[in-house]
Amino acid sequence: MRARRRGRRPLRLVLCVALGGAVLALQWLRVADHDVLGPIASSGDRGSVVATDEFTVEVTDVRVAGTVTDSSPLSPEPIEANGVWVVVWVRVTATREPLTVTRAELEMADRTTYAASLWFRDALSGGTEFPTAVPVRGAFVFEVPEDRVDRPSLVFTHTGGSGSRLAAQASVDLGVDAAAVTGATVDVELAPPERGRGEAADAPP
Amino acid sequence: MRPRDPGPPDPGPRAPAPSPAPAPGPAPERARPRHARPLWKRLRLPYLLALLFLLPLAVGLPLWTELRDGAASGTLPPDARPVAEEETVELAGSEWWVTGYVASPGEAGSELEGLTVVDVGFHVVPGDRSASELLGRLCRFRAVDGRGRSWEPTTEFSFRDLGGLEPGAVTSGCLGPGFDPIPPGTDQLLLVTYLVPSEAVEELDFELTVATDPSPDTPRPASLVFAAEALNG
Repeated sequence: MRARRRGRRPLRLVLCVALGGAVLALQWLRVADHDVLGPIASSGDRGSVVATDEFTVEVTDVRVAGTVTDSSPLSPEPIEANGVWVVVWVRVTATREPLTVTRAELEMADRTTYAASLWFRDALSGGTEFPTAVPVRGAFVFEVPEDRVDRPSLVFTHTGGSGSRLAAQASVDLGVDAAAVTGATVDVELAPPERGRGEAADAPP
Repeated sequence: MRPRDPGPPDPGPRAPAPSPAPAPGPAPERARPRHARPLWKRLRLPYLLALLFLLPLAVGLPLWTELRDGAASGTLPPDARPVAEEETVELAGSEWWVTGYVASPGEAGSELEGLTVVDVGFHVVPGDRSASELLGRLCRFRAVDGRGRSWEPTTEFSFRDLGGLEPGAVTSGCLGPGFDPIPPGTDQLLLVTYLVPSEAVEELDFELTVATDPSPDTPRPASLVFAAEALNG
């Protein structure tokens, strides 16, 4: 009996080391927190309706501008950008519950992001409310250094409710190339956001 | 019990073996009692049973405490109890009923085309002072349709002429017209306004969530969902 036990000892040692090694090696399969709880992203192109679980978004127009003018009577003069303004017109429809806190970013090909500018009263912002099943049309305005505009996408995230954990996110390729950016001196006039008229039948599938 | 008590699992011949080199003769016999051990012992049944009991406990207990804490703090929304038209129910010491809703479709060509303003008339009568305080603490409204869509009340039309009605304040808790607690025993009208797509008006039910516990950290919210009928054509 004793002899048999002693004979198993090297085998146990090898098993122990092998299992220990396996435990360490399998750590490689661990998924990072931001991948477990990060936003659930959908993507699409300009002109198509990109749907997530909580909203749909459609980019209807994009302009690269030198100056942008608010329609607000308090500040009617054109405002010049430090770089260029990228103005993105969107149509956003909440499909299940109202979107109260959102985040819009412009993401370049190298994954640099720019937050939406808060300069303009008429522009959409993170605090704009998107009521359920009522399309809202308006523009997000981004201020970007001229040489950094490189195949930008609009990344729109609903961060309200449970924070940004498992948030619904849409990424829309804007189809803008560097040629459209150089010498952008046009002026864009903003209008206040509009609520959809009669086209409210954007029901969830 | 001594620490190295051989005990019942090691039957007879193996335990007292003082000689380091046993005689070669009885070796085959020694193997037999090992196989003769009862099945439940060979399967380690007590460990299996302990695992069967402890594993559900280890999973279930944290789940239960999470659910309990979530319900107390309000992070888990409570299940709404349905209330029929013209029914009066008691919740957290107050009586509630809904008179109905008034739908005002937006005019064609206006900014509200395709949308409808829905005003819902709630009545609340707090039973006592503590019920009245609970109303001021947490009192939320929501309109829901049969397809899982929901709308929050809007304050966009709060400056309309209401023709002599004196509704209470509903923006932060349910309070009287002067933002003071509703006195116990008073029938207070609360007017809740929604802006919804016109096609959704027919399907709407009106949800109410109030605190049932005076502690600020654990409001223990409870919900009712009222069916309502249109008061105008």
